[in-house]
Formats: sequence, C-alpha cells, structure tokens
Amino acid sequence: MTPADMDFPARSRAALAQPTLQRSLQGMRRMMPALRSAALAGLPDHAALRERARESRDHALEHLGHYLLEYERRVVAAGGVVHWARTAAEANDIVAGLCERAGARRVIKSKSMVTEEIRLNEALEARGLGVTETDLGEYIIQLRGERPSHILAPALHLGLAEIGATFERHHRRERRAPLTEAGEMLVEARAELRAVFQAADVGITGANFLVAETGAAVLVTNEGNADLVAALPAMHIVVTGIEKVVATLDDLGVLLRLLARSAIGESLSSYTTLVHGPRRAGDAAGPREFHVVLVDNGRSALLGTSRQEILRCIRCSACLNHCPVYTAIGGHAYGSVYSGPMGAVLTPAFEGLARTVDLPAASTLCGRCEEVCPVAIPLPRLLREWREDALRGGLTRPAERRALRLWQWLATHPVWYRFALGAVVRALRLMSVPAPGGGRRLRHLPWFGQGWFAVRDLPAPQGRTFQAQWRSREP
Amino acid sequence: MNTARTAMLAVIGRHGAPPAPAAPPVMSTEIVWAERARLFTAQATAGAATVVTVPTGAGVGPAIADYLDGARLGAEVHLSAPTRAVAGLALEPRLSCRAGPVPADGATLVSGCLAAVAAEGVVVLASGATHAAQAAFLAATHIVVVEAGQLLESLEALWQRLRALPAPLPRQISLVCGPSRTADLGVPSRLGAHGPLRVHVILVGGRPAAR
Ligand code: SF4
Repeated sequence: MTPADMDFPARSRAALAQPTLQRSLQGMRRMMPALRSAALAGLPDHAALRERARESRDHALEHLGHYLLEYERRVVAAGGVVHWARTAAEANDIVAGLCERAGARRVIKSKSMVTEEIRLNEALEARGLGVTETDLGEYIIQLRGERPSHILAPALHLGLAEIGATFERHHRRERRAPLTEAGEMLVEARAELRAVFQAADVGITGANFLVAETGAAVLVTNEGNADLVAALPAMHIVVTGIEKVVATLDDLGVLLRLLARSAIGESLSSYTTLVHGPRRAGDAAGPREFHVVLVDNGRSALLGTSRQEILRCIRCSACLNHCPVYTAIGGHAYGSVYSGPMGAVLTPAFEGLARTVDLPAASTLCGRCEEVCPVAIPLPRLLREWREDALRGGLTRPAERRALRLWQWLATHPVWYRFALGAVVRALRLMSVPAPGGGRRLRHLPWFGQGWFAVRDLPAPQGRTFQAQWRSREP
Repeated sequence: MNTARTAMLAVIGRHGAPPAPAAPPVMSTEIVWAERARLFTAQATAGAATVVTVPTGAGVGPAIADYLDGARLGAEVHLSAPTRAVAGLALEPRLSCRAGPVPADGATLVSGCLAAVAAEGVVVLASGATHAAQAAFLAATHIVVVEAGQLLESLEALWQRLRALPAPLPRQISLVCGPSRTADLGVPSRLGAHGPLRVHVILVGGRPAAR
C-alpha cells in the first residue's frame, strides 16, 4: 500500500536536498560499478554464465507449477509444511495463525523484501506479537520507523551520526560519551540482538531461492543473521515469492556465482545456507516446526504475458546501483518497497498502474540496467510497455499529453516544423555567449531549465539544421 | 603396414615383457590436493578467512594451539562435528577441550565439516547429531578442520556429494566463506556483525591420514 499523499516529483526533490542520502548515493555511483566489473572479470566466461542463468530462470518459470509441486513434495518429505497464499492478506493470516497456534510472543526476522511487500510486521504487531528485525540495516530502520531505501542496503540513506543517535535513543545503557564510532555501534547492536535471538519463539526468513530438486530454501547473507533466525527459535517460517524456485542444485550454482558478484562485487556472500525441513530425530538442535509460505500477490498474473521476464529477477540490486535516476534520488522517492528499474517495472504490476504511473516514467531508458542485469531482463522495454499502457489508459499528466500532442502535430506538418525549429535556433543563438575555449555556450534561459543551468551549460546550436543540410546534399 | 608393425613390436617387445602389465600409475592425490589447496587459500583469504595447511591429522592440534597463542585467544575450545582429526584434539596437551553447546560470545569453536570447495573458498557445515547449526554463528572464533578427501574442486562436485547423501538432506547446510560482516555502518565492511569475527581454516594435507 502506498500512502495516498504520495507524489513522486515532490519526494524526488526532497531526496535531492538530503545531504546524507546524497553522500551515500555518490559513494555508490563511485564504487559499485567498478566493484561489480572487477568481480565479474574474475569469471572465465561471464557472457555464457549469464545466458545459462537466464535459461535456468526461464525454465523454472515456464514450468512453475511443476517445480513448486516438486519443491513442496520434498519439503513435506523432510517433515515441513507448505502453505500457499494468493494475496498479502492470506500470507499474513497464515503466518499470524502459525505464531498464535505456537503461543508465540516474540518473533525475530531476517531481511526479506517479500515480507516488506506484504507488510507482515504491521500485521503481526496488530495481533500483539513483538517483531524484531535482525539484519543490521533493517534493525536500524525498524527502530526509526522507516522503510528500506535500497533492496540490499535498507539503511543506505542514514549516516553514522543518525545511526548513533538512534541507538542512544533505543538501547538502554550507561553512557559516558556519545556514540560516534562504527565499531562501538556494531558491538552494541550485536549485544542487543544476541539477547533478542535467545528469547525468540518464532524465526521468520525470506528465501533467495527455493531448490525443487532437494526442497532447499536458500538463505544468502553476509551477517549470518538469517542462519541464527533459522536455527534458534522452535519454529522457522520461510515467507517467499512463488517465482523463487529453481529446478536443480546446478541452477543454484549458476545463480550463486552471479548473485554476489552483481550485488556487492564479491565472489560469494559470507553465508549461503540451504535449509531442509525441521530438525531431525537425533539432531543436536534446530526448530521442531518448519513452514514455508509461498506468496503469489500478483506474480502469477504476469506469467504468460510480455512482462513474465521480470519474474526472473534475483534481487541483486545491480540495476539500482547503476541507474542514473536511482543513484540520484535513492529508494524512498519511489514510494514503493521495490525501487530502481526493477521496482519501476514490478510496482505497477503489484499496486496498479494508476497509482504508480510516475515510476516507469522515471527513467532515461539509457539501458545500463539491462546491461548489468545478471539474468538479462529487458528492463527498458518493460518500462516502455508501462508507459504505452499509461498513455492508452489516459493516466499520464495532462501537461505531458498536451506536449506530446503538440509534438505530434508539428512532426506531421513539415512547413510549420521548419518554421518553429528555425525560430528556436535563432533565439538560442541570440541568447548564447562566447565560451572561453571558442564557440558559443548557453548559460541560462529566461523561462526554462533553471535546475539544469544552475550546475551546467549547453552548447549553442551551430551550422545549418539537419533538414537544410539534407536538402542541399550532393545527389 | 603389417610388416612395419611386426618389426616395431619386435623391437619394443624386447623392452617390456609381453604378459599384461600391472596397473599404470594414477594421478597423485597429493598433486590434485595441492592445486585445490592453493585455489582454496586464495579465495578464502579474499573472503577475510585465514588458512593454514598441515601435512597430516597429527599436525592439527599444534596448528590450532599456535593460532590461538598468536591471536591471544586462550586455550579453551569447544568441539563440534568431530571428524577424525577433530576428535583427536581431545589428546592435544596445549588445548583444553569442552563438550556441550557453545556458550555466550567469546568462545572458540573447532569443528569438522562436510566438505570444502576450492573454487569458491568455502567450507560446508551440516547440522546433525554432532553439530548444532548455531554453534558456528554464536562463536567469536571458528576454526574449521578440512580433511584431505573433503577438499572438492567446484560447487558442482559439492552438489554431487550432497546427492550421494541419503534424503532428506541435513536440515541446515551452510557454505561459509569468511567471518560475518556488514556494510550497514558504511564502507569498508565491518567484521563480526552477528557471527564469528574470525574464521580460520586448517587444511589437512593430501596424504591419507595415518590411522
Ligand atoms: S532486475 Fe536484474 S539487475 Fe535488477 S535486481 Fe533484478 S536481477 Fe538484479
């Protein structure tokens, strides 16, 4: 659910004026592309691996029913239970019901975008359950009552000063000096969360992948928090999207090789854990109950359509990290759980185009997202499709529609087009000033582009127009 | 051609008696192991783990004691998933071995493993009767002993090994490639977010361990 007062342009302006966010985004622009390419350069044949990854995901999606049933069969054989949820509400009911039946009071979670999508925390808290996020970034924003601003680094928008102040407000302990040092913050959060881990009744994780061949739910983290969430409480619930299933361990191997390299520029995350069912008779430890909630919530409606390809997404975040729009405004501006190019494609499908029409428009269609996507999702094409739908459905802004109509009229009336273009070119030349390095530049325009000219200029038009050159070309 | 064949074999035959030879020499496991160990070390080190190799199981105890001395971590260790070399540590005079679950933060865990994968620099831990999955995450220092036959080349070899286990697979199988870390407090990443601050791997050499 998106707040009714959402307005993408207003949120973007606010984001551009946030110094901490801008510093983080600047760091991201500077580092992430280089880290990713260096990590991928270490692979003997990246292109072939990427093609194989795309095939793996397509194969699983083409036979989604088969592999989900196969997965379910394995989980049941290992002693687990699989639940199917058509909607967010159904999923939340199932999870809350399981917690209540177990007499649970305290729930711990590891970061999961699906649970953000279905607003599981709110649903559980409404039923009187205490929920604690254990991924450090997610824990910080939970304390602050905020939403994630990046699918992998949810607290990207916060600086150390803000995090320190948050801990000082929420962690009860004696302090002689303010909390300013990252190492101290880590020690403090680790100690706080250790206590929470030990006292929890239910652990909820997402899953990066489900493997049909063995019935594994695969958890990938650098912190190791998902492993503790899965191991310590008496009940472990996995909440994940139906599209996460892959056929075999070999498919998993292909995707794991690409995931961390694309995401953080490392060959593998610190911990990759395959979970199969509850503890076995004779096991030293582990939860006695294991449940998987398979969430649809709009995914199956994409199957068999031109948008099915977005379901290949493995949530690596490479498209966010390389997007000129995301890295300028960050995730909150999108007003949705999923941000960046993948979010701009997914969100209209989940929440309806009418309330999210600005998201597919927020792209330069430069194509970097498709280039870096490890499963080769044609994000620009999918964004354009949403734009076409928006225009056909009359959802675009009136000013945009009027401008497009004017453009259409001009483009189909060559005489007027030539006249208008000639007038604009002459006016721009008149307003330009001589540049130090020779030629002429535009430094400002009276009624247009103040934001642009505040930080950069434009070359003035020079020479004849394309049409004039075309007419006088040698036969 | 037949003449040439006969003539040549007549000469060659004098240099090797005709009855079928004994089996030809096989690829040395020590060479294969050494190659994998080198790759594993490079990859695991990149993941901020530390790695040492010892020629036989007998070297594991002293290697652990040296590591703990060097890092000033005391002599007390908890044992888990005891493969042969790990079980043998009970006799190591420089270590004091504890049984039972890993207690609060600060403990050192020494465990065996299911396998290790050279290409990715990961050790693979499996939960079961002798190993509680959380032990490897609650400890502050985790020392993993990898026996020679457990060092595999690739993820695909690991999948083969998992397929050979009886179904269902162990409840929690973790591929670990270094200490726990987080980038949520800015870059560079910080170690010891939830799990261990130190992961130290001991590769036991390519010679079959002496029984
Ligand atoms: S769309 Fe592609 S690049 Fe973006 S998060 Fe998904 S898999 Fe990664």
